[in-house]
Amino acid sequence: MIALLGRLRNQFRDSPTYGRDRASLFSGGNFGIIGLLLNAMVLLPMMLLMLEMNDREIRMFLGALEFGQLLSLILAGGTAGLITLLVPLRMTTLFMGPRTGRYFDQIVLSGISPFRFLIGKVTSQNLFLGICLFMMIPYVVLSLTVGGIDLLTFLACIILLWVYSIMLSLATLWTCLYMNEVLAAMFVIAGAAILGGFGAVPFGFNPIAVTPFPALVQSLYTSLPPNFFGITQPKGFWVHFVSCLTGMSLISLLALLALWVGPLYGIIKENSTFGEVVRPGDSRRKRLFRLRPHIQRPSEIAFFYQNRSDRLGRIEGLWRWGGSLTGLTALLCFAYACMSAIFLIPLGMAGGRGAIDWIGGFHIMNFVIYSVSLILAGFIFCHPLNTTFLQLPVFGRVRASTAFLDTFCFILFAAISTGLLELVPRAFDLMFAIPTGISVMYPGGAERSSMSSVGFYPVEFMARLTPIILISALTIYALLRALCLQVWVKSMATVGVIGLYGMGLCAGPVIIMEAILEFQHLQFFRDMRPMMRDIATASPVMCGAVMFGEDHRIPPETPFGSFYIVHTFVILLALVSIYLSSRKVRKLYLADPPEVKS
Amino acid sequence: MTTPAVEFFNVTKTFDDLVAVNDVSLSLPRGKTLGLIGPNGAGKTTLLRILVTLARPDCGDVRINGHSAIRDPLMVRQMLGFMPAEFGSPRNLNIGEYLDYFGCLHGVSSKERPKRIREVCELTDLTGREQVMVKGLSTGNRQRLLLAKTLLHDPDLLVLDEPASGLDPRARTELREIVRTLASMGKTIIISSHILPDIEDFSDRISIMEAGRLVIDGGLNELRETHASTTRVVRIRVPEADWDRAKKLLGEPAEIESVRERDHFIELSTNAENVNFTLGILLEHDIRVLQFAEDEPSLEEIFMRTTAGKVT
Repeated sequence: MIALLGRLRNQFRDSPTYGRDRASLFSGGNFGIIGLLLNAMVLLPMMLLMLEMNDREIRMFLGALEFGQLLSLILAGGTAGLITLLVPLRMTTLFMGPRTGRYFDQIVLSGISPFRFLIGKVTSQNLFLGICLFMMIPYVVLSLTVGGIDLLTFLACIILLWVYSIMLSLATLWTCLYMNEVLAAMFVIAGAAILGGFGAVPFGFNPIAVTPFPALVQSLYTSLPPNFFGITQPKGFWVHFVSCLTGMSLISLLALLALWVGPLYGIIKENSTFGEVVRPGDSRRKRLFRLRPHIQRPSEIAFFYQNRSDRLGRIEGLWRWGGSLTGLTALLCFAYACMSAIFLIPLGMAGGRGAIDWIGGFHIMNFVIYSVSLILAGFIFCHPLNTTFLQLPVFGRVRASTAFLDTFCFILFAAISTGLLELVPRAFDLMFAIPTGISVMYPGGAERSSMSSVGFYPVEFMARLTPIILISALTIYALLRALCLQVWVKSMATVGVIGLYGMGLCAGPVIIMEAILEFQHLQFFRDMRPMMRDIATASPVMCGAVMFGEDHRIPPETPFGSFYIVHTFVILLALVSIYLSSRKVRKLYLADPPEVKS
Repeated sequence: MTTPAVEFFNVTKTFDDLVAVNDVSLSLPRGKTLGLIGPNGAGKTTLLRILVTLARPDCGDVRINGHSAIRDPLMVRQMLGFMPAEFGSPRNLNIGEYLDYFGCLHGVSSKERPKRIREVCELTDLTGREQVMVKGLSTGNRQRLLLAKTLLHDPDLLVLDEPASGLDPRARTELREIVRTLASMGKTIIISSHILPDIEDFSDRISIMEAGRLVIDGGLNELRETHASTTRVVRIRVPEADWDRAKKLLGEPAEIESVRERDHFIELSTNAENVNFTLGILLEHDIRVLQFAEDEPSLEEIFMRTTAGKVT
């Protein structure tokens, strides 16, 4: 254990990237830029407050706070904002980060392991945060002099900022494995900003504790007078501190694990290890279409995974797919357990019959978990064209291609989740609902709820909605697999599927239905009126809306034949595309070079 | 039989419609130096990038000490040192930090690194300049630094891509000396260059590439015999008294194509087979031969004869 800790310490201490980043960061220019940006972040909220000084609410709000308290809040918030913006940009070397363009090949050739390379990058973020905190010293001194700041709370906020900076670094690097640098930085900044924004909402207990904002703004909300604009008084600072620390640490650990495991490495043959992309017709395409989504590749960091030790490689198929399948199933079970636990509360509180209004919600949650799990499985069990036909050792002498393992695991997971979808309500019924005198599985009629029609006939309802969700998931998966055979990064294929399925099959039929209803004065749309139901119910969204009684223009008993026809057609089309593309890709991406007799 | 240090088996690499490397096969025994030459766009750099695992061939295989660069790139990377044609460095580093950074990348332990850095600095004549910033280095010193970096992990195989490019004559000579020292240390070296006299000077084997193909491959003497022109220029010096007689005698046989005076030498052109015959004529007539030299065909001549200036 001590030896292991010693080795881990050496990973940090003797990291080449750390040394390089340190040298790159410590320059007058960088200090100046960080100082300027930090001042901007700190002074901007102050300026905004000053502009609205005559506003009654603002005056009331400011009157409730001490100056030092406000200043410390702005300091911590400003630094958190700066970190949110600059850490992903630095990590992806888009801004203030050491660029590796011209000597990247030399780094890869050194054979450095990806983990060792990345750990140095993350460590170097401490220096960056250190500089930010150093720049804050004058404000801190001012804040302490003026008073109103609780030093212990302030130090706790700095700890949160440190963990946040580490989490952002790890999350950016994790994202970089699956998309290019620009997209990864945008994704993480946007994600952190959204989660931070939600985190700042004054809930009694904020569940979105994956940024430091719930804890940072807590002092602000507690200083406000009771019932100030109906704001709920949040729990104490330390509750938020612990929850934020736990949330961010969990994400950091998850990202660390994901970075250690890494992506399935498959060389992008057209540009070999990296460098200029060359593929038939690309020179022409480059001139015509600068974005080139079909040749987007993951960030350069992903290429280090060729240097990974072979220890895990011998059973790569087993641990990678087996681990994903087990993890997904565990996550699904956890989600169902949480759902059941949440629904136990009204059941216990209402003592049976009063809880009947929750039954609809129970079934909706059941279906939401099922749908999300299938989409997640589709995304996980899918690989871009450079890895689709890699032959991987599963165990012993058994080898299988990525494509086979993906398909097998997705189908297996779909079967498991469909089974759980059926099983969970029945188990809940037997274990919790029936003992309290109600049932969530009754065939209809006896226990009517005025809130939702779902509770009336869940058995029939499930029998009708389950295939809709399953077939939608299969269609999405088939489209994703088909698009993945055209591009090098899955994120690009995902964007394509969102466009194709989301716009084409989900929104498209609904838009056509609305057009038919809206433009009845036009002959063309009048002629389409008899087909309106069939067109609309081709969309799974509309099928759901009809079944949940959300759209009364189409009666609930409408058959969903068009949904099945359109989706079967799309699946067949995707399969043909997969077949045609796979022939080409197989030829281009043989897993191993042909044997050469020496 | 010892495994050759480097083996290429029918390597082909295409970019778009362009065939950069076309069915190249060659092998290099351990401890030898191979000079890879060819016009711009011949495919030399692509071939070297395939060798050092930076590019993957469309077909064929490359083996280094028996390990496939395609199947086992990690192992191969540990065995070779690659000096690229282009210099790239992290910002704000001095020579010592630069070498420490790459030493660390190559996994040289923190205890070993200072010693190793001292050794490579000594070898590349960078001792005493460890504090100089990399940014301000001259081209010659940059090349030395790149070479020093390449040697840090003590690789068996050195792959040097255009190491003398942009260097002045003195720096070139010094670099040549370093390469010679490395060769004498038993390293296998593959060096690509446009500067043919350098290649000629220290290569055990020469490979000429054109339009992605390997046009010729072999030892320099072998190439001279098989690919150089058969006409030889022979330069002879005789005593002043015998000068006119010698000139007359050499001008008579049909085997000698031309005779002329140049810098106190009689310079004649003849077929390679008749070189001894010319000497025989003079000796037969008791003319003392003070100096007799046959001009060997240069690599440049072989290069010009075997390549047609085609590029891919």
